[in-house]
Amino acid sequence: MMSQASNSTWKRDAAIAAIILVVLVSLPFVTSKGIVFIAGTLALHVVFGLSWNLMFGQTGLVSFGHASFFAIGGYAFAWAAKIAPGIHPLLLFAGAGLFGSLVALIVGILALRRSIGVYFAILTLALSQIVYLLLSYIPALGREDGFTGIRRPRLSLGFTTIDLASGNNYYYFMIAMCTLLAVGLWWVMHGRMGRVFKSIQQDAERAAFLGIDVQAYRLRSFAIASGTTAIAGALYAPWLQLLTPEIAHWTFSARPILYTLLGGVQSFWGPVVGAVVFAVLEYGTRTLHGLSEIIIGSILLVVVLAFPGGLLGGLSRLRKRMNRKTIVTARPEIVR
Amino acid sequence: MTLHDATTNPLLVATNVVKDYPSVKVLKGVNLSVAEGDSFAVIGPNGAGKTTLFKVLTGEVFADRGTVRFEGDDVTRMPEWKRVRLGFGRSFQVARVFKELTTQENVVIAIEAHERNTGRRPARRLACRPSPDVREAVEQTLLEVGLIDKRDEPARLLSHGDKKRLELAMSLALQPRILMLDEPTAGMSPADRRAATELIAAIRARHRMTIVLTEHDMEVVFGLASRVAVLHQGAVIATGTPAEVRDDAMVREIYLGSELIHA
Repeated sequence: MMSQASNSTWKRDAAIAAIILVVLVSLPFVTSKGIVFIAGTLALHVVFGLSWNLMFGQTGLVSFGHASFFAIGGYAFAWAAKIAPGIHPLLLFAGAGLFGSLVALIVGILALRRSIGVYFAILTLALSQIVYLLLSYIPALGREDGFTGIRRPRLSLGFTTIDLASGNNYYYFMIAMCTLLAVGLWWVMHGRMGRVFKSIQQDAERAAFLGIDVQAYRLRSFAIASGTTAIAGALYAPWLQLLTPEIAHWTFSARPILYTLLGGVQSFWGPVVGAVVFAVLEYGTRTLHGLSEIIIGSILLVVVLAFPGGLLGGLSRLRKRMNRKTIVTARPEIVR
Repeated sequence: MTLHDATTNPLLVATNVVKDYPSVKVLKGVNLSVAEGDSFAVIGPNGAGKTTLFKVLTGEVFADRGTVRFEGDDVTRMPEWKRVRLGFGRSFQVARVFKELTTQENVVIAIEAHERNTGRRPARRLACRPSPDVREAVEQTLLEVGLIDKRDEPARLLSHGDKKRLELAMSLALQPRILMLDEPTAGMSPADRRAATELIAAIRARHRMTIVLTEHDMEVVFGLASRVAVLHQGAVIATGTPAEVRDDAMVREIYLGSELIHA
């Protein structure tokens, strides 16, 4: 039964998420500041990768410019926090996300009409270059020097106020926000809307012949993914306290693609695994100047060639093969 | 159904439909009228334009000239998903299902699509799995087409005949007013073909659906159709009951030596 299947998926994924959260929350107690910084950034990258895969793995949309929304969210937050410091930070984060979604809606209405597949990919790439150039030229956003002096806000929750600038508070706040975003994405992927996305990814024309407005749902997927990424970008701004146009660069847009290909397209956890493996590789090779990229690149190449479905795809194939073997050995009378 | 009904209560009407592809004129002014309750078969030799006519009628491609009307409304330039919402259902020549999903998930998607098409907004639910109503309808549909035992199989592993049945189940889930079947028995074994014919006839009787189909196999045509249109070189050359069409001199000439004669 599907109900049982989705029930067990829910429980399994909740258990995995709980383990990851325990690790993330305990990190500040057991490791150095450097590692905590990497873990916090990794959490943002995980959301970045998950939201890209909502478009790619779930809806069949390839974007080469996803970083532009990360940058749009980050700069929107930084700029709004500077000119209107009185606004509640949660509203600012939400506003940055909505702004990202709005940009995606406008771009999507223009771009998604006729262009799908490689055309959409190139259009999003062009968009990211435009954003990159704009950020490098607008004086109010710091031009090429970047947006500096972004402060970690004080978070008033009615009954108490938390100063996110002190200690590891901002790290915990980020983990909480990223968890919310990831849970939201999980919910979208596994629910009614996710089923429509999946049908479009599988065969858009067939979906249209079920009365599904394919373009409207592609637009929805694009807007949700972009809004989520924009919030991740907004969280990044006070985390680094500095933004440079580099976060809109196409090399950064390549990150979620690499995470997804590395970890696996089919599984929800694919981009998570990819981002973690990538971060570990980066950290492990950080002292090898110049060699780092070569090593990471080679490993990526090997994984993509050896496991077309990513690490998780390879793992599930391995498990299926082992299952088949155990069935054969355990019940020879069935196979004969 | 008689000719009389077709003129008094037409559901789907094509008038002077012209469709050219860059190098070839496919449809050269097709006229046809399908009455409510008809089981309407479009037959004709290979290359007559059956599939193109089908695409024009369903909205997969638009006619260059001429009109397509559904219940009197002009739908000539209406995209397929909107036509589906008006009550079109269709199957494809090569069954198209969502291959990476299970049989059941395919039907769930179709039934949830039907909910949206008819404007029924389901209660906002936090749960991801389909609502009890949807699950009930899925169960019914799978029972009706005989796929209940294969509900958890990935659709790509289904046999050719089962894929066709799944596709039919998805079309049925939409509760269409008019069901368009493009070669519903193409590529089936004779036994499967007979079973499919019976299934379609049973569905038609139970749901009182209007059916339009293209078909190669004359046994299927004469088993299912109440009216037949013969398409030849992009134009309808004869329309009538199966018996009338069979006795038509021109049709005999075109099909000379083919199976229509001894069907």
